[in-house]
Amino acid sequence: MTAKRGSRSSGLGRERTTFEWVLLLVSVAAILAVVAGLVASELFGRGGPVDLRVSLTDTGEEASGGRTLEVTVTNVGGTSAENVVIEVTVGEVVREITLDLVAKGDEGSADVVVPTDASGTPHAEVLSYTKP
Amino acid sequence: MAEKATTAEDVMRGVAGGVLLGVPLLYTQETWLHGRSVSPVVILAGLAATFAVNVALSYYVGFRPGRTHRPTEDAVVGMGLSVLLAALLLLLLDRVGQGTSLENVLGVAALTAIPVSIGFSIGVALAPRSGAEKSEEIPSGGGDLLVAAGGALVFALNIAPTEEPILLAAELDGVRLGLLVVASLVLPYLMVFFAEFGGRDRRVASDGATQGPLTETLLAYAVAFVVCAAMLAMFGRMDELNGAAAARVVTLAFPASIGAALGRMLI
Repeated sequence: MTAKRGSRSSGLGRERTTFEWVLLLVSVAAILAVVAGLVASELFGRGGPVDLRVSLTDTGEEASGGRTLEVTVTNVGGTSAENVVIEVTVGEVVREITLDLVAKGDEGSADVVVPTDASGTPHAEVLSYTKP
Repeated sequence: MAEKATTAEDVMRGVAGGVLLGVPLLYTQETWLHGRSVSPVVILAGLAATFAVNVALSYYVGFRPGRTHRPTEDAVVGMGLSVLLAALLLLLLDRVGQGTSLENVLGVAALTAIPVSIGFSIGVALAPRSGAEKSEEIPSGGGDLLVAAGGALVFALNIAPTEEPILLAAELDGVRLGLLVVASLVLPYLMVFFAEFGGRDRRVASDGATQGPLTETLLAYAVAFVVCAAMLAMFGRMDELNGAAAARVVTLAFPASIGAALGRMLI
């Protein structure tokens, strides 16, 4: 035990090498960035309930025997949403999709396929979601 | 005697420990989900508690041989590099990207960095300094590859039956799959032949048929690849031999190659 204590005290006096300084500075910077970012998002981040905005894009591609529509859901609220169910309607055609998670500030997307001859303006809306 | 300065080999030992403990969590959907939905305060508390654990681990174990004289500094280095390593791995696996808000990137990276940093802090204890008992009795060449297969099997068996390799393979593009192959070769190479684990000199100097560092790394990856293909087939996830199946094997072969490296480090 005595020998170990002696060894430890002599090591404390050693100067850091350039490599050690670089490691330390990079590490401190990485930690500070994460901590500052998390603190800032807690203090100044968007609060409030789930707020989902749905947009629909006709990709113009024919696939899987129909026309592909891309559904994008953006959560501009302050709470994440799970199991987000979205209904897409094109005339008489109705499709339903589920996104596992749309985190606060994030967006999620999925494609739905409707018959090529489906007519009418595509419309999408959120039916339900759960809170994590 | 004064304490030795930290070297790149020491850091690689910590990285090896971080990857070993972090990769299983990285292949877990719940990590991706909770990193986005858990409150930043909770994640910060987790980081603070982990830092305290890392200081203690750095004092008693650490990523450098011999006890450190600066456990707090080593814990800072371990946590900082773990955050960067976690972010890199998340980018590689496309778990964070352009559609991810900065807050969520930080949340997932910080959550993933927790086990990575623990692994970093116990890097030196991952493999015995002089190799495992009776390891010298294992024949070189074929024996090494057998051990690699065992390591790959143990490590990837936890992941193969789950949804994650299927999900990841479906979402990763060709570039990322290529980078995953590169990472599956480079990381094990550095772990086995660069980091100063026990028996490294013997492994580097060995000149058997499969024993050059590059040859052994490639062969060990091939072994991990075959083990993964067999496991996926066993779980009914390789119905056809096509691009999708290859992507699944490549995705699973990353943790398997880490396991294969661990196996070789232990002998």
